[in-house]
Amino acid sequence: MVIILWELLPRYGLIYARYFPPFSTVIRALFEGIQSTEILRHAAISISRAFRGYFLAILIGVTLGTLTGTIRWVSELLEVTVELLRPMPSVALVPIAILLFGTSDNYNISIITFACIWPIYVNTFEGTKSIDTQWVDTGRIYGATRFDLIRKVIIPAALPYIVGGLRVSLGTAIIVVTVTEMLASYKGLGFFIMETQGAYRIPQMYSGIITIGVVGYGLNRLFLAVEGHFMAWHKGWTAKAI
Amino acid sequence: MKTGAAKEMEIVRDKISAECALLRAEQLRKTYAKGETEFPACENISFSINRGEFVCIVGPSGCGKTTLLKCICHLLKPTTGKVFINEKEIHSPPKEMILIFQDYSRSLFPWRTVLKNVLFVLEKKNLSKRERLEIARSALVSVHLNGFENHYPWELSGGMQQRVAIARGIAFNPDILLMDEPFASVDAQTRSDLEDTILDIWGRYSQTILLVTHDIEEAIYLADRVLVLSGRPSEIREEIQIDLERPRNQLTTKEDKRFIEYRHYIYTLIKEEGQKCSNNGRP
Repeated sequence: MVIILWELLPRYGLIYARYFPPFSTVIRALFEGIQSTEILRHAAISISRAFRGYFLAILIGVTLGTLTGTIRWVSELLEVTVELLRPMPSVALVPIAILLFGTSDNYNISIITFACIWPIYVNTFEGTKSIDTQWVDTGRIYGATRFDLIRKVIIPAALPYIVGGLRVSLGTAIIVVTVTEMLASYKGLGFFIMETQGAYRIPQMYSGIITIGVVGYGLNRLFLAVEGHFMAWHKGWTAKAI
Repeated sequence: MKTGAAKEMEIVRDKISAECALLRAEQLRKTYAKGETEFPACENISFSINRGEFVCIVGPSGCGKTTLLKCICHLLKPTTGKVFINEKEIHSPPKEMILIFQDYSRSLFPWRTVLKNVLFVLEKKNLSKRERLEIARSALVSVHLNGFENHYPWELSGGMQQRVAIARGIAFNPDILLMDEPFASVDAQTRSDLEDTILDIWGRYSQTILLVTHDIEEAIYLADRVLVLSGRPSEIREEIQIDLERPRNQLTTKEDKRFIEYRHYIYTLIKEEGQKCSNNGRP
């Protein structure tokens, strides 16, 4: 429906065709971009940056969240710091990152990591606190060390909570990589969009925008597939509990 | 039937059994503090259990039986008092002893299959992968669950889940099995089956078992000795030697004259304790 309007309205001059070219024109630009690999190269760079920031956030967020949720003095130590840092919009830190990393990938990755840590950290923290203590007791009875307990009992038990944070952060990673690229990168889809806009290559601009949408959609589906595989037990278990 | 009269015999026997006691509790006391007030759960619990014995603890509801078991295996630290295994004091959950919880649905891990749940307890042992699988599988066979290895716990019935919990205990092969009202959450038919299963396992693996139950008949049916707890704060009111033949049988043992006498006696004791509790208005 939207596609039909998009195609017809510019052609009949109902909307300004320079800024809103017909859908078919955009698609043609998209295919040209793919054939010349221009769009693909930018997409690959953006995805790579997003993933690196995302996985770094997972590493730090899950580790910190688990420690905070299981060891009391860690929670007391970090509480104030976390509450002060968390509300900070990640993009406000862009100037700092530019000073530190210039316009290299690390600039993007650092901001992405900062933005993605918080949902993961909070969900991991809440999750590790909320699991059934009898699971932990069972582990202790059978001689599990603290490390064993965390690895084999606490984290698997908290995974349903953690996954929620992972899902939100994935979306955040895509948004933040785009924004950081728009602000100060010279590669990547965010940069591509700004550049084509400035050079009045409008169909190409839209093709970049669509590509980001497709990437986001694709990554989400991938996430759901992986989640479905690892969390199958959870769906069965909660269904039974009802 | 033991009464309070033969105290001398009691002291002598305690001395002897203390020499070869596998598990011994000394003046265990657990109080819960809420703000300024203290709520005593158990007071002055002392007993000893010999290797290979099957001992049951019965008491009125809410008298702190679960708390007592958790203190014995040190999942909870007792407020005062000590526990000894082979005359060595323990300070944290020891490897010679495990506890099987009443609520099996909260102790089996839902993210692992039945087989993997049993394998969990073997992961710290110094065994090869093949050996672990063998032990886990044969434990499941002992509880008649050999077809269900790749099921998830929540796919099984209550009785089956409790059997998985028992299989974990078998696989771990501790010297002492503590069981907290293990058959309370299943139906009567399943309960009889599980009682016989546990007797069968006890016969085969010769562990020392301490089982807590509110079911007087179950206690008499299973045990060599029954410890009767008073109401809260619980103490050991009396120890009763059960002089019934083994192997026990759900029909003939329960029709035995002595079974009925034990049952009468213990029921009366527990009723008294329950009355005392409500008369004193204790929590």
